[in-house]
Amino acid sequence: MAIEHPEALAAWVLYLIAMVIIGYWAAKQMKTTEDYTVAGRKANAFLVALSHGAGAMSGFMFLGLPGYAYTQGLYAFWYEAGDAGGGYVNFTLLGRRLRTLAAYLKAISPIDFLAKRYNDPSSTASKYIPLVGGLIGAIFMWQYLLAQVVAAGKVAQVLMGIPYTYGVLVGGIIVLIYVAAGGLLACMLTDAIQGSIMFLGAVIGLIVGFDLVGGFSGLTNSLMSIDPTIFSPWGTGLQFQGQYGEIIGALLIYMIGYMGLPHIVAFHMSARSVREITKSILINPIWASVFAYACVFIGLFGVILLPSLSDPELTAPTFFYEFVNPWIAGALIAAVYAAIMSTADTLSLNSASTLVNDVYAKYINPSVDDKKRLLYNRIATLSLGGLALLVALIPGLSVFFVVVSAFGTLASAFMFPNLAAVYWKRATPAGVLASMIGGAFTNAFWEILGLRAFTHLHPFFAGIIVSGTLLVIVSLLTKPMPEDKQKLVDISKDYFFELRLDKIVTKSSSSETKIIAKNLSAILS
Amino acid sequence: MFGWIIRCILGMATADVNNINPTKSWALFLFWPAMWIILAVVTYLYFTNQEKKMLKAIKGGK
Repeated sequence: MAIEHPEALAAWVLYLIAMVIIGYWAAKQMKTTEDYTVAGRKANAFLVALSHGAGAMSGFMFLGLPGYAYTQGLYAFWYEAGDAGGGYVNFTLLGRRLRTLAAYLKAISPIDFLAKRYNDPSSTASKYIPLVGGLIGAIFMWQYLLAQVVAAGKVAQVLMGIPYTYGVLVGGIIVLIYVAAGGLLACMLTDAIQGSIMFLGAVIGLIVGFDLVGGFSGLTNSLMSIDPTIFSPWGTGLQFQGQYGEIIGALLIYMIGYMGLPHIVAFHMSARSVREITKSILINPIWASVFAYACVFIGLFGVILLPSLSDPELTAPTFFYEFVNPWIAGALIAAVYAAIMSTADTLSLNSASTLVNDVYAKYINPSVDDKKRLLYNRIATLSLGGLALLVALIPGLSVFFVVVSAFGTLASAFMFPNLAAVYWKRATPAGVLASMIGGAFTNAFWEILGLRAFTHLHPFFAGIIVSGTLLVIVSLLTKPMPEDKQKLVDISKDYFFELRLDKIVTKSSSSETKIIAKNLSAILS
Repeated sequence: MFGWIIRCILGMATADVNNINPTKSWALFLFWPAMWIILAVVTYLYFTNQEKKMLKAIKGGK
């Protein structure tokens, strides 16, 4: 076996060792299921903001996106114009309220949150929310994970000369070890490190690229001389001209879609307090704007500097090898791998947690104790991840269609139910169930049924229209939820309820008041 | 409404598809991250102020 780039291999190995050490350390902190699935609700703003960025922006950012810019020019910015603000929208509209209500309901996963928020014994639909939500979540997060594992294998094969099988197995097994051992805390710590490496890689690429093409004016003049339509917002060759449905879908998918992704929403639930979410509002958009835009610029540099690439998706890695010092390039290739792994770890954890906590513990064995549940979470993480590794060994699997499809399906299914949980008292379990099924089905089958070509509507755009419409119409046609459930919307705005309860308990003067306050605290929590 | 906004923004760069103006195209796309960062700073300050008031009320026993 000939290793083409020993520097990259060395950087990659060092990086993998560091990830395993972090997983080992995080495993020492694990005591309960809550520790495993939502990091014990102790994460600070830096961890929440960077995990959101790194966990959300997968290997697509270093492979697919520069490749898309290489072929479509500035049109690729439509996706990133929304993506740069995706974290901001998610933290601002959903994060603070969802974090508050999830802590109040003691929800241990995003599906568990929906199940508890829409729990109504008088509604048949209510009983099926965790089952349907759990299955949609687990299936499509697993699909998303599969794409990441395949991407990891391809990166190792193409960039370091390691056989695809070894790339899949080594990368995949390392992710599974640290996730199964360290849960969400390991995911968040590694994501924060991976996010920093990704950011640094993108910035170095940006500086080197502008230097090579002669600055901003050099880039503009060179691209104009190659093809003026590179600058068209309708895409190179004006191929999306007049297709507003496509452009709105491209802009919205990453701008609002994160609010529906269970593995991203879990980061809100892990925050130590609402203050940490508020700080994340400031940190995340700065990180995301620089990183996302830098990846598009690297694609544009490639048009000028690497005009005859056989595979546009290798624009960024080839750019790093050709124009940056080999050792730095090696570290940057580790950043590409980091981008893939940071998404894969979050997905493997959340698909397993959804299956165990939302399907098994609710329908098959409700009396399972916390110790066994933690063990089953780890077994499920290893089993689902192992299955993804085996399927990924099948040659010829496509990565990016799978990523966009899984992302859109998850977002279409869960975005409106999540938002309604904290904003709309009139939402009912039947409306939420219809919204989840309708949104997921529309997004998953829109292109397969030929409706995208017929309507020129992006599948995600179609998915959220169906999901939102069904939620409103079915909710209004069914019986409102009981008063106490509707009041949960008000509680989601009581950002410091934990502090208030603590104060009642600790500061009460009489022993009688203390007992009442403790009872109140117990009832509320 | 949203379609109308998009049409206005697009109009800035596509008034003449046969005579594409790169400066307008850069402005069209670089506007977005600048907008997100400004919004983030304003929102952070607003929420921080709101949370300080809430915390003060809790500490004051209100």
